Amino acid sequence: MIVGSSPPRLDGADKVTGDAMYVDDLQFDGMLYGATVRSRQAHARYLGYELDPDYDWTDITVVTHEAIPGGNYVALMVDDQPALVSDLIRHPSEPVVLLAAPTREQAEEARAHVKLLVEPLPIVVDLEAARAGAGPIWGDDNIISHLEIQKGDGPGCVDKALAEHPDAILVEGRYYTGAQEQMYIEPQGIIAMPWGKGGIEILGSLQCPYYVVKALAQLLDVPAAEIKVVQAVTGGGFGGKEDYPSIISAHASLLALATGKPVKLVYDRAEDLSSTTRRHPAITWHRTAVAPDGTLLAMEVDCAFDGGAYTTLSPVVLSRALIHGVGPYNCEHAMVTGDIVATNTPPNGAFRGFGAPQVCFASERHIDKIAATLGRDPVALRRQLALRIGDTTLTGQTLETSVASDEVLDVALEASDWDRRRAEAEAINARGGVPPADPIPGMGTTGRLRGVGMSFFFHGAGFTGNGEARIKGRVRMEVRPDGQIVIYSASTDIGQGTRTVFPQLAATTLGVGIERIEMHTPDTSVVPDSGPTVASRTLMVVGKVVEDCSNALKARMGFEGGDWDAAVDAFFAGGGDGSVELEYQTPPHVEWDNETYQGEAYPCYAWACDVVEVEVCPDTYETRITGFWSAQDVGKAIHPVLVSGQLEGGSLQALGFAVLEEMKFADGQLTNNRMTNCIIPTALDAPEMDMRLVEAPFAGGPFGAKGIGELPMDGGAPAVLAAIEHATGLSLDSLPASPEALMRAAAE
Amino acid sequence: MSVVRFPVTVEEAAASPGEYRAGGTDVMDRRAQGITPIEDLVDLTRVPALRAMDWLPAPPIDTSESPEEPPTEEELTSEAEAPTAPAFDPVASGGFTIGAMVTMAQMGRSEDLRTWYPGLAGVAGAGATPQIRAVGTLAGNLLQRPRCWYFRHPEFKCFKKGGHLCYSRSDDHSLHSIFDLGPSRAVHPSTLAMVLLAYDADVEVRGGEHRSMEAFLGDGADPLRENTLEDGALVTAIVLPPPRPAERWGYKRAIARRRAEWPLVEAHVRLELEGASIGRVAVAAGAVAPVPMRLRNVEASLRGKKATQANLEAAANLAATGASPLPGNAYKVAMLKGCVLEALERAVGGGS
Amino acid sequence: MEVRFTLNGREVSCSLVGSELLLDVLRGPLGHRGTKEGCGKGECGACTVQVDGHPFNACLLPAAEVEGRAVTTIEGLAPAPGELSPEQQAFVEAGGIQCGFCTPGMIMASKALLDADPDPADADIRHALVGNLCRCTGYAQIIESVRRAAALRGEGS
Repeated sequence: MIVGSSPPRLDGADKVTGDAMYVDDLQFDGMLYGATVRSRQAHARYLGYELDPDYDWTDITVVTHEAIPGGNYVALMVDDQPALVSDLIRHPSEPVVLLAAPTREQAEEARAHVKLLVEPLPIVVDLEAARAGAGPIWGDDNIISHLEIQKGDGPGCVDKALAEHPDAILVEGRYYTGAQEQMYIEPQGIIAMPWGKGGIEILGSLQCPYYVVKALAQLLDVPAAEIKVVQAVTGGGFGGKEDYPSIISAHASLLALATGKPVKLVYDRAEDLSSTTRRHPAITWHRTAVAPDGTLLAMEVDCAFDGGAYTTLSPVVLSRALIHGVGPYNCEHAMVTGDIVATNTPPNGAFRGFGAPQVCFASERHIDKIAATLGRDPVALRRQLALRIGDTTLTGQTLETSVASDEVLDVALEASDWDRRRAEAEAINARGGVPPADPIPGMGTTGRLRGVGMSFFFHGAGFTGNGEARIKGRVRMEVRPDGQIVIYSASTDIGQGTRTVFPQLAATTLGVGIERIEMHTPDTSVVPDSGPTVASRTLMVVGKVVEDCSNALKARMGFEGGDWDAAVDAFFAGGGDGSVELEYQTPPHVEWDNETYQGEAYPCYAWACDVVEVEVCPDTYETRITGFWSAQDVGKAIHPVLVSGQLEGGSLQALGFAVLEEMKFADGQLTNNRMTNCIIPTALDAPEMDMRLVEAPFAGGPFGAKGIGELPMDGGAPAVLAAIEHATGLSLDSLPASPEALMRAAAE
Repeated sequence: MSVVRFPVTVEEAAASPGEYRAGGTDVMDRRAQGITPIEDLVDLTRVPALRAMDWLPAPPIDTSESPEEPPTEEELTSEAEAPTAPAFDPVASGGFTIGAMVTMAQMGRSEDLRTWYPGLAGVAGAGATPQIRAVGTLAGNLLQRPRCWYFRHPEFKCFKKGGHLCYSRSDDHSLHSIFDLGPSRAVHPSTLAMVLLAYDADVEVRGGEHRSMEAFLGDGADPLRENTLEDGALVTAIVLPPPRPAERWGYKRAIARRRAEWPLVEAHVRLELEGASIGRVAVAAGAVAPVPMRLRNVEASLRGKKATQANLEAAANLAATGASPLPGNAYKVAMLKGCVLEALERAVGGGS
Repeated sequence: MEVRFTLNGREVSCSLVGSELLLDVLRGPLGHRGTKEGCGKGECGACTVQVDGHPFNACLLPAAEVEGRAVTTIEGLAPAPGELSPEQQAFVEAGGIQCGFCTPGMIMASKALLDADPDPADADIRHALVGNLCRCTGYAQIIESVRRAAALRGEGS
């Protein structure tokens, strides 16, 4: 059986030899290079542009919004974001004028000779001020999107519970998480080429080819069939290449149409950091009525998410955030509310976790606060409150299967030797701490304070509610007369291993060797729309369709094992049709009301528990993460090496979010726009990871697998802050827990 | 396209028009980003005279210029006889010169530096990344421009780029200076400058002039430069005073990411113990002011005192005397004290 | 101006206008696009190549500076077409690659380490790779890949 083993990834050889072609590696005859002139103003009236009369514009093509054949907007959810500014500038990185030149250097140089004429307007960048209506800069209240979910008594439930239970305790908290950059190592880039009769071909670094088709068909006013989108090998995405590639594709296409030539538009790091999406900064307020025995009587959770200047995907981010708002805990009465708030900053968007890391940080910190208030052990309290089979979630979904709360808690706590490790840390601190672990010069000798913390979390797999029924993801598989089987899917491999795991599923289901299976490049002129590569859905949902297609082929061929070549020969000799295309079948129990947000929010959840050990320098409040143990429920590990790599990579993004990742702004403009000041962890910052796979199978996924792409991002940060609190007594409610933040907290 | 010239002598280099390029880790970035106008480059990597690293035959420094008390014969002798000290090599008595183009990696590997100037070798060999250490040079490190994010961002025309404000004063200044020495609050980026300040090193400028680190760095008041080097002048070497065999050192860098990030605050300590008491001591701090600072009051408070934890703490508490932090970087006051204390503890405790 | 150097064991020359970077010369006229650009500022290590055995960021190095020196890129590692070097083999097997964009630089930095120290401890590996950022893996499987590469090189010698 190939499923459950770890064959070498099928794109591995290309990637280690330099043969893999990323977008910037592709060259075409006569190709031009694009550049984007951006607003540089956070909020202004745009009056026009001037080209420097002393500059030689001979070889330069200039394109503005007037060249757009269709509607001047990037089709996504709401048609509010222009492809190029026509009258109003809403953030400092808005594209206004496009240039194409024979070389990248010329395009860059010409950009400095375009002057934008603007009339500045008052700007609003502070999230709370914006929510209070400053300006306003968006509608009459700056609210892009509002959502409420209620359970039991709903509005006013906390005050009601406090009134009804005189011994109940009120625990309140305010929790903040800032912007976080996806920081894929390959910056974004697209090549656009004239294609067919008035159409466009796109080659690029992207997650969702059909998003680009939709955006370009509208923008260029051509049928979708005239747009061909092909994914180049993509150097990471993490959500950052979900929707922004549509904008770059729009720009490259306009330049390609204007010049009749291929146009490459690849961002440098500073432009990528300043202009593309990032994780929403968010404030989450908790009010909880707690019984003395720890029962959560009622919870009110309110979130403000900074959406930036346009709608983009933010309402969906808010939806996922609120559904995860009370965490994986039982609470009979709840009121969860939230707003997407407009500010004069670039739109924030998808990043692994998609709203859940912000609210998970808040709810896990809040559970720790409740435990501290009650004098309860944080693990015991979580065990008491955890959702189990038969329990009901915030949206009224009764969990009937595939709940791994006890397993992940047991496994992670045992792996970390939680009780002993906590006690040892306390004993060590009582003796003055541990000598610094860093063996190299640069560390003092004052004892480091050790602390151990944990978090417990879950993440809904796949699209919310009836999303999958709406998307209808499709896959085609074909058996060729030579016995090879080709999978046609729009699901993209952005590093996570789809191009290896889909063949594993097909090979195992059909009972053939993996070398028989090929994956066609995601090319919208050939592959069906499998839905976007987002939401932890590729393996669980699209992979299920691969399994279904494989079973359908197997049945059609009557193949029950044995000689595959003979079976193929017989099948085609009999005039068999070797092609099958199927659509995802939503599990029958999914019932969801999108108006009231009641019902089966997700077909299943993945569960996890993180344990983190830290050492904190009491002189400078530097935090080193010295240990990490995690148990994560994957349903079924199709490819243990790849899934462990996903979980470890996601966990380190969470640990970076916890202690060192931070984005700084001045008037909406990103100031730390490089990789040495907008930092991510290095190999020295990453702890050794003890990653345990738990398998609580989901019957609706292939071989029981469930979506886990986002899960590991949710729990690292609150576990780190709990560990820091255990070490130092400092209870931080905001991220990151940088040395400066901890020193400020210590000074208070 | 601009031109790169490859002089092979110091005189040729001085006669070549263009911006000097040493390891290029800073110049290439500033040029690519258009932060400071740079066209032609004068690449110094093929000037052998700038790559030398050697002992000097005679004392190169007029120690009377040193603000610190020169060592007495007695002191030198007593240290040479100390049981823990390596045998003093007479060849070294004249001090040590390091060519301007010696790389950080070479300094980190140098047996001479590791044995006799461990505080310098240790810091040079552990900074940045292997790739940067392989190219980054001593003089290039001293002369790199600040890493302030407003200065490095093309959209912010600050004092250092001929503008008329320091953005950090009104916007985020969490990484900026707490000693208000001039219009700009950007901090000096060079760790080696701080270490060499603690070493009482001299900068040798083309033509033979020796300038003490303190004079070379200046007072931090001019926002357009981070040193007193004249336009077009060329640093040829750094000259270290004779080694101190009994010397102990400590370095502390407060930082969120363990490597490849500029420090929030850093401190370097050299000291010698005379029995249980502290004798000679030098303490320098970085990332707290437009130039690295010698903390003379900390030194004075330690000299002659017993090396007890209480005395180290009392001295460290003087580290931020005179600081006037901005609202968002007041944390650096406590962090500076913490770094100095850690560096002192390390020097007293381990000697490395 | 003409620059001549050894690229993956072969003498090459390339005409320069001025201060073109090694990275641009490799990826442009010399057609070696396996070396990647992730930041252009020596901050991410995706462009790491070996020059005379040492790891360098090709994005910071003027091509004129490699005159007469030996440059090794990711294309120069495989012993023959269709085969992989021990480092490449190890990264494929141990999960050291996900998106693959940091991979060429990561492998070149790993090779430089193993050339200097055939049996590095984990801490040495982490220190040697500190200039090569990866956002996908969390580094655990990269470190495992370097360990495995050390073992494979040991077997082969």
